[in-house]
Amino acid sequence: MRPDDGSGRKGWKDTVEDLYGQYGGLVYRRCLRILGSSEEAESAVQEVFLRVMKKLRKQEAVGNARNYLFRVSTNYCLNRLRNRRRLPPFVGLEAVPISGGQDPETHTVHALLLEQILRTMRRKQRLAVYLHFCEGFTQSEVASTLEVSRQSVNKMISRARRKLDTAAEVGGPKS
Amino acid sequence: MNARTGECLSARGVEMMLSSTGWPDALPPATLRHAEKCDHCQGLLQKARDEEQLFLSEVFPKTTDGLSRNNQGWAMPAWAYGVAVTAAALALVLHVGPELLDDSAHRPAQVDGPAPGEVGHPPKRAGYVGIKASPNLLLYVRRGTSQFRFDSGTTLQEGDRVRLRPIAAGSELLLVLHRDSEGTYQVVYPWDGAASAEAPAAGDALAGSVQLDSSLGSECFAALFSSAPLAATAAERWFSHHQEDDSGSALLGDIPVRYVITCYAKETK
Repeated sequence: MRPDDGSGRKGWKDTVEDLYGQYGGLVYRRCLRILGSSEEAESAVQEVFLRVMKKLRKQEAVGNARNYLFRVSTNYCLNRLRNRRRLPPFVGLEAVPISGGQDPETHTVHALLLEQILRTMRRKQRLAVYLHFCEGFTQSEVASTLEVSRQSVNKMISRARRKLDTAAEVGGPKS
Repeated sequence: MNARTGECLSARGVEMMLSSTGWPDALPPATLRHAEKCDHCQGLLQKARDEEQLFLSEVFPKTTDGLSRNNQGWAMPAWAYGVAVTAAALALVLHVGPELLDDSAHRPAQVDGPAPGEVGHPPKRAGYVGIKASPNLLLYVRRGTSQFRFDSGTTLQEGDRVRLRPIAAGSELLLVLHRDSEGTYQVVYPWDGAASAEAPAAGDALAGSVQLDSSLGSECFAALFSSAPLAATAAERWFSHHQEDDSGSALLGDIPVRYVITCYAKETK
């Protein structure tokens, strides 16, 4: 239960304030990046930590603390955007081109397609695809973050890429 | 599309650079070497450090109580929820009850803010907690496809786009002025306004950006934080006597003001 954060600091069972002080900044930056507003990020950070506490109270294993918080906060923010029918911030300058040499128009079309595809994916695949395509994580980084094998990540990314290609051939994003 | 190359730090890489302990893996040496030299990566790191600082100084103190209360709430026995609900209902009846019997309660409430067309105090934001700290004005520069945070002494260029992030540190109102090398003043916040306006929420950058023109020389931004409305003309007069980086407190007329002046030299590309 108690994750090894390698820093010799106190662990999960310490007070909320300690936990929040130790990892709050990381979660806040994640939320700020995805949600784009400091007020929304503030509220999201609290929600994320309430969920974490709930999980800890049930004595559920979480693995590496930083990775876990990175995943939970990203998922939470993506859900929040999805529920509000807002596009994630990758539709714009922050987006990493899906393949090299794209013109901005094609890139925007791909980003919109990606957004549609993300809506239909299961949580783990969605996270992998978002981190790789939208935040430019390498497959190794995605594998480390998700705590899965590199092959699994490769499969998830390839599947998403095929969906993306098919959707692009069919005729662009549908509103 | 953006300045990030394949070697640049991802968001996870930035976190690993900020705190290298506690991760199950380490950044590859090539990425570390690249990050040391890359402006884009350095900009990301600086932004993350600023956000960490912002979290610790403003978000953490404001939110930690709420989180603690929620955490303690999980340990409450079931019957305690019943007591809490009853107490809340009783409090509501005691608080709202007299108002239901008093017809004056239905009269329009006095508006807490300026009348249309007047300059005055904006209504206080619900749940606002003032922070005792020094105000600041952070500048972020986009040059071509790269972005970086402005540090004192950095030379800017024609065409650079500058975004401003004021740290109000508890002050309610803000006025930001820009003076170009020819001595022309522009009110940047509120854009082209005549007086100060409600300071943006903590951490928010001002909307839009200032694109630097081709005139060369020294230019400055001045951010003036106050609790009372400040006229732009008075601020310009005051600003005209300040030519260098500076920060502190001043009295403009009878209005106490905290200010930050940030200057930069501008050169050709």
